[in-house]
Amino acid sequence: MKECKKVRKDIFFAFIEGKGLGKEGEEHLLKCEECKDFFTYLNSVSSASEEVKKRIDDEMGKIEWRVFEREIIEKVREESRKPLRIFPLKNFLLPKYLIPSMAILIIIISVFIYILSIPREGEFFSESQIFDKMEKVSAKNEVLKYFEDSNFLLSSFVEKESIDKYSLKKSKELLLKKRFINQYLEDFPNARQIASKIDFLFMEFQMDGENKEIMRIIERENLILKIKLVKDEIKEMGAL
Amino acid sequence: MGSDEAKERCKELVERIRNGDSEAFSDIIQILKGRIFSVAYGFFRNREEALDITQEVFVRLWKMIRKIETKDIEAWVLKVTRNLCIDHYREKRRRELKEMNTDLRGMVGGREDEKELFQNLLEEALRRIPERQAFAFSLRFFSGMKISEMSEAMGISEGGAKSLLFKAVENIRKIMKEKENERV
Repeated sequence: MKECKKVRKDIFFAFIEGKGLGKEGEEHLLKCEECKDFFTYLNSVSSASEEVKKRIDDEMGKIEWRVFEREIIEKVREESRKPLRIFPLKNFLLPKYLIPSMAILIIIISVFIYILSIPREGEFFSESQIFDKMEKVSAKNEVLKYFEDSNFLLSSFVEKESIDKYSLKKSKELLLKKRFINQYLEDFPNARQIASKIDFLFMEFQMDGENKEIMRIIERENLILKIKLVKDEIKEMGAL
Repeated sequence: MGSDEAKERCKELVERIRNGDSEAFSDIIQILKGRIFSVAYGFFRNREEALDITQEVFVRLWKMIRKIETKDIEAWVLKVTRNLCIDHYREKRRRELKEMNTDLRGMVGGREDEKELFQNLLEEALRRIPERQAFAFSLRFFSGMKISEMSEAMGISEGGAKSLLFKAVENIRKIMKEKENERV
């Protein structure tokens, strides 16, 4: 009965707080055997508890507390002397039921890292892009070096109006270098055109061409000035 | 010693222990030993087990002395007592489940007067209800704690302590009735 449950609760709370049952509670007990039985049971619990309390007091009276205190202090000393516990490896191993969850977690983290590593414009570079960029910087330096060396060689020829041994050797090297840098000159028509003219002159050097004719070409084409302009253009461009 | 007075005294003693005064530890044992023992004894109704629990609580108090809140040492100590009692009880229950049933038959079947019978049935029923309920029951009825003290020791509200106790009392009654019927 719903009413009985409520009354029993009220009886119980009044009982544990040492209060009276109240008029309503007392009247209910007179007419309800079940609740009356519950109240009797509470009283029996109370007296049984008193017995236990007495037993506790008796037991406490029998204990040699001084001895027990010494035992506690000795135990505390023992514990303090114990070395720090080193955790066995098995404590760090995952329980079996957690392994699938951990595997899923690792996959999610890996995907997340992969997504993060894809470069956004102007923000991130993948490893291969970084290598490409390094290669282009190196190519630019090669091309610049080619034009600088060519400039030096042609200027000294203009000055001396003759081809010495060093110029012959150097022009041969530059002819070979031109083959190497051709791939980098594809997208730069000005630089490629000037390089072709330089190449032609160095071939004349090798074939012992007439100095005056070489001089005439250099002057007519304004080659030394054009080399300078191309060099400036390449320098301003960043990587090729 | 009153409850507030005991709290203040414990707080002072803990500070002294933290400052290296080892005699203060003996004083704190003096103050708290009875309370711990009675709670543990109320739970186990066995002197040796209660003494073991009491000793273990003090060892833990020593280990944690620099970390615990000094505001209410007694509440902390009672919480540790509760946890140790429950852990110990679970282990014991696992180990002695079969043995316990045999004991019960022996107890109920013996020559006992009504009072003794009620006592035995009550103790047996206490072993069968959930540990938290059994602990609440023993704190209130065997250790004589007030509801407010119980709630502090158990780390729950006073309302929670009351309803836990009510459930304990009802469950004990149900089990006792079953046992009585079996006997009849």
